[in-house]
Amino acid sequence: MAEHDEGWFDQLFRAHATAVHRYFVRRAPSEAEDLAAEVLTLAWRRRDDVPDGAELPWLYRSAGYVLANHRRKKSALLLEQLPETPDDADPADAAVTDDVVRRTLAGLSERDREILLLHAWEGMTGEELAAVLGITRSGADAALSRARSRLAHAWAEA
Amino acid sequence: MTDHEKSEDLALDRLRAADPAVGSGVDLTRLRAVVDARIAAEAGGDGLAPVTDLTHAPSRRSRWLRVAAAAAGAVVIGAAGFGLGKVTPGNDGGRDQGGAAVSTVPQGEAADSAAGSTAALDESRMSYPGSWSHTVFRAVGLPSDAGTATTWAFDATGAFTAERVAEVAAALGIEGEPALVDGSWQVGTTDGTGAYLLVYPDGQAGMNFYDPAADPWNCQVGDSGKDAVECPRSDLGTAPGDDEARQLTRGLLGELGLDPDAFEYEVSKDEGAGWISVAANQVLDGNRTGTAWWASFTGAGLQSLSGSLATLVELGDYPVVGAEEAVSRITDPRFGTLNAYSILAAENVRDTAVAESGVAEGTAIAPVPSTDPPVPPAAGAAVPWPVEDVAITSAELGVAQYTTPDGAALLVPAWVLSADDGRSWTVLALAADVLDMAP
Repeated sequence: MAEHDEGWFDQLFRAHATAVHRYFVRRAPSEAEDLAAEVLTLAWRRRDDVPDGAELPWLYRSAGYVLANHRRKKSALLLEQLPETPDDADPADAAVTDDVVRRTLAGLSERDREILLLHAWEGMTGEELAAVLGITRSGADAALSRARSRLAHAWAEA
Repeated sequence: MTDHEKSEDLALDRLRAADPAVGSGVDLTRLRAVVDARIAAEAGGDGLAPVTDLTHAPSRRSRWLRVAAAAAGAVVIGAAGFGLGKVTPGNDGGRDQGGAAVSTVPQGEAADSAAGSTAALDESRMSYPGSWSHTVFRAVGLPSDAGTATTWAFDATGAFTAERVAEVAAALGIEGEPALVDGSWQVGTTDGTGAYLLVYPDGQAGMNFYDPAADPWNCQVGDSGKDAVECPRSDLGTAPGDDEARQLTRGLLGELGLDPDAFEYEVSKDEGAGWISVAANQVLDGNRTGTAWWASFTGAGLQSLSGSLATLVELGDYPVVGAEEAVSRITDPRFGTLNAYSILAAENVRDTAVAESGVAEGTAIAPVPSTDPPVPPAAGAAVPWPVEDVAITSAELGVAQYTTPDGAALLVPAWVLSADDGRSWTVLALAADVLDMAP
């Protein structure tokens, strides 16, 4: 494996920084720059782990963790102030202006939502989707196929 | 994309059109500056900055050290490592003295440190192998004796043959000869006119069966697909109930040559849509392996089935380390933790937040953002560097999935180490002498 040095990082940034930022514009619009910076910093810190030729799925996978951690801190904050558990609304709903789509997304489980958004917005399928989700190719195909069929149902109900 | 999926395409296209990032821009220069500042801030802390010979060739200094040195209030720390060597205050002293300059930690990082365990915890789960900072682990009351445990491999070679695929197709009632299409075995056509079976060349010989006739959402859209906003759901009758679905799944696994008793069954369903799903979780010596079969049924029968056709092969009884040694592996850079975490388990995140907010009484949860800048520490005061001390009080030996670099899937003995608050870390249990650590 060629050395993952500064030149490597420059190329990675040029090729993928925008995509990582867009991932967060879609899911945490007001903190997108901050969260994107965290993922890219992580890519440098863990540069030896970033697989050549599969950088973007690795970045999206890391982005998922960064997002989950970010949401957890936010919900922990809410728990301090409100005794009830926070409701299940996905913060991404706020970014979506299409009412029907928003209602459709609200009718899905969190895992179905994440798979569908990775597919519809980030364009992930097959091997790449499997790499982002951290499961086998066939597992990803099956999970996407189930999510699509549940999307169709929720769409009709919305 | 197959024709039968057209009904889903309508919803998917609308979802795509609702992409909030359409037309959004990003100031890459500013983003890069933020990233550079954070990397520079970490450079002095854990020694991960690019190695640069500062004493002899200042012109080759990494851009991050340049960024850091230019930041106001730079503190110079000896190049030998954080905290070692000379500490000289301020300005440009570092450039000539061969020290690594470190800028003050940006606010975001300080908040992370204050939350301590949360930042360290998630970071270790982000990549494989995970590694830790700001945390020490102690084994408390754990057994120290080593022993042996079985290591398994998924053998996909026996399953990825025309004969086996034909057997599976016959058991599922699909007609046709297996053919290799794009590297995967296929029986039947994927154009929506009938059921099909796909078997993939991955380490677990994953398979996927789908029958459009049993799919209530399989409506044939006309030529002018865009006009068909309505895709009426066909009424295929009532889906089987919980017990019946479980029995059907057991029967299917048996027909595929598997042992139905080697699985734990979980049912999920959507009464409104008329389907029911059964997850058959593979169990080995009382532990779930993480591999599962999924079967979905409607009133018209089996709609879909997916799972691994690879058989489990024993590689043998391998020596494993004791639980106490396993705890030290969490922070050993050669091991770290095995990722038993996935973004799909986002719902777990909320549960751990509840657990941690209850436990972390002394630890401040990330402070409520205020509009005033933070007050710096007093001159001469110690620098806050919170380190969490985690006591591992229970250990269980099980198995974890591990994929080797060439794609082979294994089940390796693994210790699941837990703290009293319920957080757990999974660590490889195999003794070092059965590992080939060649890079």
